[in-house]
Amino acid sequence: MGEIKDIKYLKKYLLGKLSKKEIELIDIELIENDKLVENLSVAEDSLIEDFIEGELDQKETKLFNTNFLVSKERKLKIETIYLLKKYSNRDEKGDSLIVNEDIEFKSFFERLREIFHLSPQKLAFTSILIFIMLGIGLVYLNYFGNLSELEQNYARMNSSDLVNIQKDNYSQIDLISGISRSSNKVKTIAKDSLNNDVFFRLALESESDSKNKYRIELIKDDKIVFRVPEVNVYRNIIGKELRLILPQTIFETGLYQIKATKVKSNKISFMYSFYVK
Amino acid sequence: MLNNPQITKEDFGTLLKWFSSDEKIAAEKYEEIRDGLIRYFHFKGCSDPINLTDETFNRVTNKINSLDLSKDVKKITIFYGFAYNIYREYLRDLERNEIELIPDIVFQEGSNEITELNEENNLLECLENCLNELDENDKKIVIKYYNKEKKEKIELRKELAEQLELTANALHVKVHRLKASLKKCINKCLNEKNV
Repeated sequence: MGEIKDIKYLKKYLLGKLSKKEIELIDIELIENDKLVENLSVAEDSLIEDFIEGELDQKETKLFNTNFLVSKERKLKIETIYLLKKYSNRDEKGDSLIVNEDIEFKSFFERLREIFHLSPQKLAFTSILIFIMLGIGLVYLNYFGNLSELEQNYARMNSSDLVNIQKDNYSQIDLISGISRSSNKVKTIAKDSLNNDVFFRLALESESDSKNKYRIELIKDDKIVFRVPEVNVYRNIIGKELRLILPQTIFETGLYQIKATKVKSNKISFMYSFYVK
Repeated sequence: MLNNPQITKEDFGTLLKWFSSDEKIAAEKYEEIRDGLIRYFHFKGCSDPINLTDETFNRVTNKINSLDLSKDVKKITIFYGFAYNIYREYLRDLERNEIELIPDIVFQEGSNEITELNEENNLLECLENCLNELDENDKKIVIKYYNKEKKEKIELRKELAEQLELTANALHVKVHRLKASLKKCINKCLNEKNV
């Protein structure tokens, strides 16, 4: 057994990585006296920093989510340390918090000129790339063209930047793909609670490529009931997520699935389930 | 999860007598265990440690007449057994209610992260105000402490500890205390903003 006051050992305790007996010893020590309080507080902060800096391995990240991130207070702690780190790093560089970075502006003709200065190989590669993009564009247009008027309205809404969305204007549902937090239960939403359009936050694996777009299909009784051709990937401090707005009017009682498929690959998809009662 | 059963005065009296026949010592023991349970639930990450502690006392008190109160059973162990069950129930509730724990801080890849923060602009604004309320030296310590990552961070903290003539652990504790006062200030600021 490790030294009970050792920060590394206490971090394992916080993650639930120790044996049951070791956890019990620390639990009882914690109830009996306050000798561990300071070191545990330091271990908490240090663990959060490890998490933010991506120092935890996959197994530890999972333990972090199930055993450590168990209250809104801890969530706020993560956010506070995250912001402190961001603030400190900017402050050191002498930057103000609001930074308008200069974007190198190149005109269309300058870019065109650059293309024609490319080697034949690069030019061939560029042509193929343009061809593929045109193909994707056509598929997209075909898909978009088949959308109903309502779907088209929401397609426009969802393709815009939803970072600064006014959450108060929506009913919010957060979903994790496949199974819920650590059980196999499907999230249940009361139909009455859906007073406005529904704003979904769909958790993605942190390794997901942020530059990808996802196509969304809302499925009920094995039928697609609503489609959104493109939603963006957003980064949050523990990973990535898709943000999606759907009209409140389409929801009836029953089991729903949201299928999110990578627009580019058309193969990799995630399934999110919820039940409206 | 909370049962809030009716606790009889008699059962509570039995609990205190179990602590000690001396009323003053019994009250002290009660406070001591209560503080310990609050610490336990706090470091388990539970949302409402005080409420969960009260629930632990409620359950122990209700079972007081069926418990083995012989001298060789440690009181702490009995309370721990009940507290542990309550903690497990807390985790189960969390699952059942799917409490929203995806962090709110969100930004699009490639964008200027800080400027793109959503309603956390409020949090950021509060953080900045609260940092400015700190003593200038303390503010510098916090900023330096959270600067850099990984190996560079360790070096910088070592340097900082040397400058302040503190051990690495004492520096952690100092920053933790500063952060605790920052957190209080941030909470107050957010409440004022009605977030």
